[in-house]
Amino acid sequence: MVLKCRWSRHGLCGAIMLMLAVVMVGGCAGPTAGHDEDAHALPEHHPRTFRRAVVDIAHRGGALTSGMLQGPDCELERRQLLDIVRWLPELAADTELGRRDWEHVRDAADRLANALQSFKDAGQLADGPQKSLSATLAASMKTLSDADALLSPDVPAEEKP
Amino acid sequence: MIELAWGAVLRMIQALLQAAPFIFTGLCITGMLSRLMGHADTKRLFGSNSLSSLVQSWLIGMLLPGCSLGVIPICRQLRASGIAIGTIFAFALSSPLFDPLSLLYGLTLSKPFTILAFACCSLIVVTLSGAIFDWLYPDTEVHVPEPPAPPHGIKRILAIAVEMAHETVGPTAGLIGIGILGVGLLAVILPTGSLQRSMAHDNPWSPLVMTGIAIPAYATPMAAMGQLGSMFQHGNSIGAAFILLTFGAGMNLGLMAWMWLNYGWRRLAVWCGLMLLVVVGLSYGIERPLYPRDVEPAGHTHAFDGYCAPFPPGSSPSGGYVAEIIRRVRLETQPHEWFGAGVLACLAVLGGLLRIFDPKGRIDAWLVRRNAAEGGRTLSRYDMEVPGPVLALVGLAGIVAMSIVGCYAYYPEPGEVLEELSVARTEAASAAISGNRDHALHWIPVCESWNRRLVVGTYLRRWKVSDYHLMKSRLFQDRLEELEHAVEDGDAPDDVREHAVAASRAFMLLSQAFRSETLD
Repeated sequence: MVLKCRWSRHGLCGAIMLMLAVVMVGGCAGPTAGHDEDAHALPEHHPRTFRRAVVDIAHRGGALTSGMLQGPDCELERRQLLDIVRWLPELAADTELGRRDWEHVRDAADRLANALQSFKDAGQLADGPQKSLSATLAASMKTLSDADALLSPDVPAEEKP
Repeated sequence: MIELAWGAVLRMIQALLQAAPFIFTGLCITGMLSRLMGHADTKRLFGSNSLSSLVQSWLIGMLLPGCSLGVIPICRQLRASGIAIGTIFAFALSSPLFDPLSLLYGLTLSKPFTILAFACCSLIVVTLSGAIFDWLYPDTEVHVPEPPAPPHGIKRILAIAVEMAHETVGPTAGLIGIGILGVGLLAVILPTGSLQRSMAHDNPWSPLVMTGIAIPAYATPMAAMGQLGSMFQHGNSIGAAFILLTFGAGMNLGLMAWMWLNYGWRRLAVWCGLMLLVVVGLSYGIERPLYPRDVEPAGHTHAFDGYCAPFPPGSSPSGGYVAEIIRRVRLETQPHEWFGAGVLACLAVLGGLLRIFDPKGRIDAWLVRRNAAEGGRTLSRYDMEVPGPVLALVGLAGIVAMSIVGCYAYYPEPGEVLEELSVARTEAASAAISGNRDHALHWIPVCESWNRRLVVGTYLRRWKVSDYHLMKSRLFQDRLEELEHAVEDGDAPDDVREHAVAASRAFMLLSQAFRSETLD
């Protein structure tokens, strides 16, 4: 059966304009993402290897949870640590880790990223988020160290890609 | 200046070869609609001048494989069947966007939701613009006298072949030529690599720039999907990606010329205005919600290099332009494209011979003539007369089925892909290390293509690919791109070697993952 469209002229125009206005207002104001001019250029804090990333996470996580960093320094450290945590699955994929071990690393990275996000949302000076981050960091570091221990010892921490 | 002209020639040859299998499919569909289905049943299948007909045509377009050049003969046939322009364009726009091959490819590129959202947006585009256009111009159904149907038997099949041959050398060829000229025009206007940084997510002009490029451009559904994948991977504008799919794959200058010739410039202008309003509006609307958050914007992409001039200014191939064009065409053309081009050439020869030796259409008249004895013939139990429309529907279903079977051939088993990939990777790495730039730049995209087919082939057989395997594939892709940059930029031999070794290592990890770990 063929349904004939019988819309009034004003109704149709109004509906279209409204729809276009809604989608344009909702979507066009996207966030501006700053990025390097050089294609595929990596930020300075990008670790070269998975092993280096594990070391960096331990150091930066320790600094962040110690309470010694405040204000912009703390936020910069948190953001850079979050970047490293997000790069972790890719760095782990660049090793001989098997599927199960890689999935453990990815899950640990997800948990740590969520904790770092909550740490920011709740306010850095609050006691609760700091404790929660410390606990997640400790658990994640165990997983990451276990995965790191599986890799052959001859992979240098500063190996170039 | 000479490099621009030769560059345009190369791009037009490449586009024609890529389009050849789709043009052949389009001609098959046209032949079946014309000689088996007939005007009335074609109109019943697609509908006309109604909201439901727009959805019907969109759905048929989504099922049938096609490209924006291959739909030209079908559009002509739909018009002759008395179908309204909104409905014709609903089919013409949706058919080139997705087919089983490209949809599978797309579903493994990004989050499947993004590709499904694009498909839904395409439905909105055709429904909205088609409904408005049919409402503004309700009188676009034409009545063209229908040629007599051929009788049952071999004559019906011959009539389809003759119809296809006529189309190959008729107005369809001219319109396809106009579409191909658009590709040459772009290659003249756009300098080499000029689109590498113009489609950034944070550039508000990206969708508009893409609109200007995509209409004259030609992309097969697979090529458009591959470009989409590259855009997702590089964190480019999602709105521009949607426009690339809608206009780059769905439209070309030939289709616009067809509309202008048949409906006049005023209606063409209204149609284009409506399409631009809806498509560009939607593209800005989806930019933020569909943007992948887990991607580092690279600020560049090589996805659109194929639309720009292939020969940089001042450069001249060592063996001359003709030799270089032949070399590139031979290297890059796939077997199915050669097959399509060969069949089209045969049809063109047949069509040309019919024009020269049978200008009065005696063969066409013979094909529709019924024997006197035919009416009184008693059919045996198993010799049934199948009505033409039923045959046409079976033929159309056969084309859909063949395209699904084709998926399994195009995306083989992972083991088979890894063997091909191993050969391609060895070629790419050894060429890069030995400084054979052209050879390396040929084999690196071959590796990239097999890498994608590895993932899609796995997905096709298991309907799932683990994050672990996806990550290994992505890593290999990244290493290949880094190697490609190093070779293109003429980096120091040691640097190139380092990237080649990194790419080989990534391949080894990928191969290990697919061979020794569970895939789903």
